Amino acid sequence: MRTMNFNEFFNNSILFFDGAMGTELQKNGLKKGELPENLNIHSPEIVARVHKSYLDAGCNIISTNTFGANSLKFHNVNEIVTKAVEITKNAIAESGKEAFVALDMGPLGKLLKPYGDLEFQTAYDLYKEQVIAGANAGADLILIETMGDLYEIKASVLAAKENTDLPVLVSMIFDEKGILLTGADIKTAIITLEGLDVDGIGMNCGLGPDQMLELLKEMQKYSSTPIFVQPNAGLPVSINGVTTYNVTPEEFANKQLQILRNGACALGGCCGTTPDHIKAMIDLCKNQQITKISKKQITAVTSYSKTVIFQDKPIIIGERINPTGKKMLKEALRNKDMDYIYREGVTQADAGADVLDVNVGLPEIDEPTMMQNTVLGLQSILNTPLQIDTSDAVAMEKALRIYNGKPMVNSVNGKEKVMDEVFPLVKKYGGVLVCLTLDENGIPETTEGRIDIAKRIIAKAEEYGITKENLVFDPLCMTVSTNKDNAKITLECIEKLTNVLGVKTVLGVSNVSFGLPNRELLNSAFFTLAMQRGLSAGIINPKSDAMMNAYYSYCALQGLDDNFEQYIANVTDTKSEIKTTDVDLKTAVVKGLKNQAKEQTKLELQTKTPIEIIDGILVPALNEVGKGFEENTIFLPSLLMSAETAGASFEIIKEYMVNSGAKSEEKGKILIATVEGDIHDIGKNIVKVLLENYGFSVIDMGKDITPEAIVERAEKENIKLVGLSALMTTTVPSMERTIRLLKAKNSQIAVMVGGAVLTEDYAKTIGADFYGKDAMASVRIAEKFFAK
Amino acid sequence: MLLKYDLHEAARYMGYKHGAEPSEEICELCEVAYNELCKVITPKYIYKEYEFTRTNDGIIIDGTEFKSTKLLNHLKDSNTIILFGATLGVGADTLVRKYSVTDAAMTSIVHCVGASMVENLCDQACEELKNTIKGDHKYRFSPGYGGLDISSQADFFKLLPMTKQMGVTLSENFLMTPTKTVTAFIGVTKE
Repeated sequence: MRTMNFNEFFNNSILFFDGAMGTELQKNGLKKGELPENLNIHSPEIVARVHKSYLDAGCNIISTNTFGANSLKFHNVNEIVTKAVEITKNAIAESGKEAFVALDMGPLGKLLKPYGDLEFQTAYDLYKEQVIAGANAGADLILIETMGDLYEIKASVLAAKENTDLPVLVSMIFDEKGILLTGADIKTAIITLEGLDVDGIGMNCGLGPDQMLELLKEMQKYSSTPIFVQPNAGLPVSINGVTTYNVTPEEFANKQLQILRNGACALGGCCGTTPDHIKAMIDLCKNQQITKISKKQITAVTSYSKTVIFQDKPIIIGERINPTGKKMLKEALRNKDMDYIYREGVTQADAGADVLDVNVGLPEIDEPTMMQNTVLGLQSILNTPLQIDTSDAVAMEKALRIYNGKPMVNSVNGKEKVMDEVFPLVKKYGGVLVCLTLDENGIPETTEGRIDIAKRIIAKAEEYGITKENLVFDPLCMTVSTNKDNAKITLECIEKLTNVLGVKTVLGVSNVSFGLPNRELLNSAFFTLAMQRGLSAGIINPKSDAMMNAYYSYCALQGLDDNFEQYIANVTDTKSEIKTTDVDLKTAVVKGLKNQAKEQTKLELQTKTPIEIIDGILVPALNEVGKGFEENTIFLPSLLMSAETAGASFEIIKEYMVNSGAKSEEKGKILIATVEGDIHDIGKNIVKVLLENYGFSVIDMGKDITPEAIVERAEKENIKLVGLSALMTTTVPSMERTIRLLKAKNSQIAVMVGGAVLTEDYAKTIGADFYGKDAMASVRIAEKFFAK
Repeated sequence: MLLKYDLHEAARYMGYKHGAEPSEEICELCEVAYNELCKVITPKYIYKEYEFTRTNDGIIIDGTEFKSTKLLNHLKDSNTIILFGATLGVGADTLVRKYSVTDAAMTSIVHCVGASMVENLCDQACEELKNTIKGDHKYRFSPGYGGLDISSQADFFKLLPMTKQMGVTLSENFLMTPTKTVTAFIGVTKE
């Protein structure tokens, strides 16, 4: 069958995969506790026997015995994979039958960051090694199976596509609700995988045919890619510690027939299925007609666990992570104050953003690196899909590569050069692309001119294999202050794009009012008009009441808000924020009342200097709470609420100082980290919050940080006090090593340590200068240290 | 399975001691944390019953030794042993990470309420286990406690498919992710 094109075959005939491998190998002589992949080297005849039994059953695709053949488990991956492909090819040749060789790759057995400790690039490299060995040995396709994490799937698919031209099939393991281990549902998984342009999408393992039939129906709603189904022989039953599966070959065959009739294009089996199961299935199904899968034409973006579909209800894209005109964000970007950026993300998501725009372009920073770190950081805390917004192709590719899901991409336009740069990236990594209706000659003044550019973009995208549903058009809005017809032209464009070209639209709404007073008034009215004309998505500030009121009102009036749920929730929200001014700033901090503290800080700033507020009100308030904590009358959550409240107040003061150009006084700079090998950072984060709110400048390196990295950073930043945290006895040695290295480099440097397993004495024996029994103690240490 | 949390237990994790009670405000925040956790967790548990043999200072399960005299004593009357694992899934960790950039108090509260919820998951699961595996069940005994070195987690993971079935993985230092996860041995005395 070597002359036969796999994809052609897959799209026109029923493909029959084999069944369980591990248990069949055991029946044929694999010893308990032995890794199955080793058989390829020392007992190839056992593997060949299993392949033969499946070929005899009638399979036309045979998976190699390479499920776990990666460098985390084996030192000789190339040899194992090469042998495995050879064994499979020989078995097929000897059988005289026609079948494809599928290079089988399973999960690596370690979770990727941010859940676990495996780097995306490391995962990619591990798969790359298998892919290259398999392709060189002559595999016909790559089968990535039993996958439970979308991010790991992305690493494996990229490894397969970048290093071979072979077709790539991906099969996932869902639970009975249709959810992957790291949280993606079926819809999210399919949309993301189609973005990566895989040749087949399937499910295997975990469930029996009954459960998979239900999940298949859900897959059918979203997939335009052929679907394959490889169930277990029912759900596992444990009898005296031995796992067994109860579905008989006949039952299995009947159920798989049903699955085929419900739209699957290929069938196979997983745990508990034998050559008998597979033979019964093939005998029953081989003469059936295959139903071709239909094209779904869905415009959708995803994160690792959430999908946003462009339908009747407009999408809110949060515009706040974009430095244009935002002094505080610029400052945060320059200082690499990632938490500030992440907070902008969280507050927008909480305010109702469906997607977050991410633009971190500033001339003086390394945009590709900052873009990558911002995307990684936001995705570690939020499941809101992101819009990667950059004109730097390097930054765009870096972000697209590590993004977990199918993002929005902002943007392409009618310029040939830009299209040639951006389209290949979107084709490769997947994404919904924002298309600006401008070209080499600028923005056309007429509706027709902009529509013409849109048509050209659609045609060119098609040449690159990007379909219309993955393009969203921004007809651009110029301010009405320069031409009274500007808003009208844009609205006309939205209508034409929607009704004539049949595409989705997006708009940066707030440009319309540039140069005029009370801009929110115009912006929100324009937003309503645009939605009425068909706008699919607005790039707006979701923290603006005026904009969100316009949005919720529009949705309520258009029947897009079931039971007025969002509308009512929004109204209630506004009510609860009624400001009380009867609490002074000190009381607000002591009681942890954030909103009041912010208001009071603004009032205080009218009469006092920042220093007067900090030293005269905030620090005494914190001290009062800190004392209560030390005396066991106040406990951690209340202490933290006060610290956070002081932090909110500091934020207002800082904003005031940034805007007025004043320099803040620094009490001292402290570097903190959780030591290598330790992934617990809650204690460390608490220390950080307190130190910062006492006015210290804190460089937080995060968790699991090597001694070398800490030493390097301490030297670079000229640090005098380092705080280290370790929770486990097993990681204290790494803390000790860090202290030793720090002291060797600079004998003047002081180190304070803390963490559940440490004591005053223990801290001394590992060479620390100070021991902080809790977060408050670290503040006292720092105060004493810098007072010297 | 609807998970609950124990306010007193969560408060204890937060550091409340000497009989101090969390304020009404903190209790409300615990409720908020609980409701948010309920939306993002994906609780799962697995188990496998094994025969075991005793040594002088520990036990052997399927050729793998677990050294701890406390574990040995704990299993004094037991005939078989259940290896048990339960997790809230990755969602709880993501929620903690989210709060760690916006709200330190809530970070701590979500963390502690989550810890109490995984204990509740274990309690409920262990009750269910009593219906499937007959006999008198001992309380859970976890690697990393009672003199059983944390490195025994690696062997534990070989005997129970924590990674494949629940997505729980071990770091080089034998820490589990997702972090709201429990592994335990449960002795069973057959009638």
